[in-house]
Amino acid sequence: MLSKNSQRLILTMLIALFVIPVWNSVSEADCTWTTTPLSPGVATADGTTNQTNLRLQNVNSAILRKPNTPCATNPNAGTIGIFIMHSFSSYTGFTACTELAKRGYVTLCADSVFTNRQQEYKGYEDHAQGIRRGIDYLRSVVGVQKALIFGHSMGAPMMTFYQNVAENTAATACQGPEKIIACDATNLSNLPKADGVMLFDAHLGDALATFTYVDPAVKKDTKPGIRNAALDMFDPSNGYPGDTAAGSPTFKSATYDDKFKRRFLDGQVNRNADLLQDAQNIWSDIQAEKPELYPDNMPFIVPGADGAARLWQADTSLVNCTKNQQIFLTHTGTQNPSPGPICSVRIPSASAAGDDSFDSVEKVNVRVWLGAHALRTNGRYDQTKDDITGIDYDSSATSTVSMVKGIGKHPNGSNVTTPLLIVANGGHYFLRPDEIVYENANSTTDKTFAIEEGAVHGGGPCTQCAQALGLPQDYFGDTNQRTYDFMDQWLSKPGRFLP
Amino acid sequence: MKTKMFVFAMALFTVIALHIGQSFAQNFPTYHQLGPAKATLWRPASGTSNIGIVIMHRTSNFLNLAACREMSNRGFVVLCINTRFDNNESQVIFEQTALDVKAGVLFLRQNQSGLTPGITRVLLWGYSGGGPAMSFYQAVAESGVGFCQDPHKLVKCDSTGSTSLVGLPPADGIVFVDAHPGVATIGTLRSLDPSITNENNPDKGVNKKLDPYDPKNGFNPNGVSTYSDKFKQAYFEGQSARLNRLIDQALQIQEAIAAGKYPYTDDGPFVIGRSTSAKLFTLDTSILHSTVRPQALLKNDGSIDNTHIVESVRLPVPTNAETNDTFDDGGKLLTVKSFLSTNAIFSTNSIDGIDYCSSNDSTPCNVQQISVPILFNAMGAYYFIRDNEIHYDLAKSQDKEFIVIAGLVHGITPCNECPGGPYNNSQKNFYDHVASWINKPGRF
Repeated sequence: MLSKNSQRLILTMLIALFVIPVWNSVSEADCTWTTTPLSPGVATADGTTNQTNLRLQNVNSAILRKPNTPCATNPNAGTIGIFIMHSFSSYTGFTACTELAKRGYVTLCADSVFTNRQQEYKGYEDHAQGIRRGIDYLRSVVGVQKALIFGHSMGAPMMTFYQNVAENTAATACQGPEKIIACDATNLSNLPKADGVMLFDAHLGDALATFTYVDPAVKKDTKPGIRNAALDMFDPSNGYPGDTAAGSPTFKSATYDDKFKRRFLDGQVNRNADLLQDAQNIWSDIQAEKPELYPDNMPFIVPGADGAARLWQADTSLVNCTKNQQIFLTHTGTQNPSPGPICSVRIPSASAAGDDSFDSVEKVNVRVWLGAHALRTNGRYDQTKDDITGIDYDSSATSTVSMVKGIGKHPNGSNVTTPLLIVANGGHYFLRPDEIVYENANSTTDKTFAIEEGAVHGGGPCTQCAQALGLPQDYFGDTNQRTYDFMDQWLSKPGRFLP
Repeated sequence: MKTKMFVFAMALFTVIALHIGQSFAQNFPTYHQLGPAKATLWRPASGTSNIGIVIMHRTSNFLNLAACREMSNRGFVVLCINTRFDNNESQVIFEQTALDVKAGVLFLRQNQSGLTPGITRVLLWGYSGGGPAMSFYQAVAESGVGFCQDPHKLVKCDSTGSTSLVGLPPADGIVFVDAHPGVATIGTLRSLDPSITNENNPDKGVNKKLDPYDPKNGFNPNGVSTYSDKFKQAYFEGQSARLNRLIDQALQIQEAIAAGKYPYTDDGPFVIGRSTSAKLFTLDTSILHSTVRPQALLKNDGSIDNTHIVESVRLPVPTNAETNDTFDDGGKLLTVKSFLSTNAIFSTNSIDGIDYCSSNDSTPCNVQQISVPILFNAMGAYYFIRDNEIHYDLAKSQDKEFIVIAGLVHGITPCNECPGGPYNNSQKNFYDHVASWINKPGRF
């Protein structure tokens, strides 16, 4: 037999074998995470291909960030996984991926298959399989019990589309007679519902974006340089200050009078309607198998339609404020609600040079135009200080306003509804648009809308806005921290996703 | 007895501890933003390395490329980059990819992450389209911007402003992995359907004598096609003629832009129908089939045979016929700039009459400037064997090696259906061989 001392030594060592790794984990700083890149396919030298734990199909790439240990301040956060993706921009390194991981949540940030290929998807049905894979993957991660979807900017309409289809089927969500073209439902059956939806400075959708960018001053698509001065928002005689100070705090707002504004907006409606008619005619001819056309699709090149001529970007008096009081996350604390409507502190963001550039051309095909860039009006289209009116949001399945209506209509798992969070950034121009989204989210019984003071579209503080207002550059403080702390509070509220 | 049991217990402890230590030493990468590019950094599970490898492709997602893990498992620090043109061919200004390579080289050399101290050598890994990108970077780094501003180039690189290529830090060596000769050569020139005569309407005026998918010309929809020498010559010359016409058209637009006589001040659309699916050698595998001299073949059993001409074991892909007629998959929607920078090269014959140095996107031109050690690997079940033999022959470096890896397809996985198999060990052999080449004493 071993001596007692030897027995003790061996016992101690054996205990150490199991304790040391645990101790190692615990000793790491709280809310640190492990990064794992995922790809559609993985091949390794040992002959193993497509290891399922490293594989995420139907996306271009993805990064999983999983907390190493439960967060001391937020020990249950690791039971919540959040899938973050944008419809066309790279989001593997987006702020939310690390800020939410830092707070203990599992984040899965993906680049969609259309990353840097904005002009190739015909609707968010083309992204649905990627989102489905993301949700399924999160639910396979050890410890994750709830899987949410998170859409920033143009990721927001994509996520609302997904959730609406998942909850209500494609036939209801995106194939009704009100749509300009029915969505392609090939891959939209039996999509798993996300447990919650988070929208961050949400865009109103690709079609709304295009509609409000289409430049009515372009007389002829083949000769975009020949412009109709009466409809030119970049003509100084109509109220545009010129590009000289663009991008700086001294960039002044355009001052369009009511007559010009009316002419411009009517012109925008008319050109959009003409483009829609052209696209529908070509599409009909393709369906009729006219031999002079490709059998599947045709190019549809539209000058002055991408980042081109959006009136409210030049004139900051338009679409600038909410209609109602809302939760306001300010540098001095949270106002719930704000004392009155909240206005953006943004500086103008239009560019005459951009409108003249080839970058302003929508280089799409006719099917993509109909599915992702065409929108109808349903009344008098107008932009005012605190509204956009006259848009038939339901005519496009890319509309956040339309898709959000179906979210939370039915029980979702153990929850009676689908919780929805919307946060808009007060240094950008989506305050009223996101309020419209919030107002139209009339199915969910658990919805929250908040505005972050002085944050630019990406979430950081707008130092130029502060300068333009004669305030210190750091006046708005750490907007990211406030935003993600607020999201953390929303996520961790007992009874919502956690016990 | 007590002593023996104690020693046994200690040994058991050591074995278990080592095992646990290994399982906990799994190497997870970290994520880094490199300006407009992004990257994952893979470090060896244990120990440190003074050799870093930068892996990048012009447009593909390489954040999780198998080589990132495989080479870090073999003891190297690996930085896997997605460029600013990630996932979008139509945006690529090829010369600017060098800026993302530069960011990667400096990231490792300067230990910008604080995670990789002690790196003294940085190698480039040029896989597939990463071949022309990495060779371009190194050529400019070694020879200066005079190389990429040569008057003969269709597009000249910048030497001022934010896209200047002045002062690129040279890498210490390059590993090419089934590098292709350039998008301009393989993706455009050799992919064009030469039977097209009307660019605005590919259906009109088709030259049936050059139709690759006409059985009368030798097409076999069910297997290997066999084209006559006469047809092949006309076909390859026809591909060159079509691309030369497209280049003329693009240059005219560029001149009009410069003269202010074009609708846009900067760029314009450039649509090319039937331009992706007419590679004759994917139908007739006798074309670009083998090396012209005996070369090294890394066989499945791990041995190297230097005594034979190396033949590709690849299979034909007759299904390309279906995509050639479509707009979505059979055409390219580019801009004038991206066409000229990345997709254009002068030639008289698409196989052996290429004016390699008319484009910056051209491995055979770029390697002529490179003097650091180079390893050329070609995959034995694909169609870049002869191209890589040419790259090897043209490379300026005195320390260069060319080897074909038996039975692997372009994705670096075994071709199970190809003749001469099995090739189940070739993948591991390949990575081991590269590691061994890098680790050769005195090289780095």
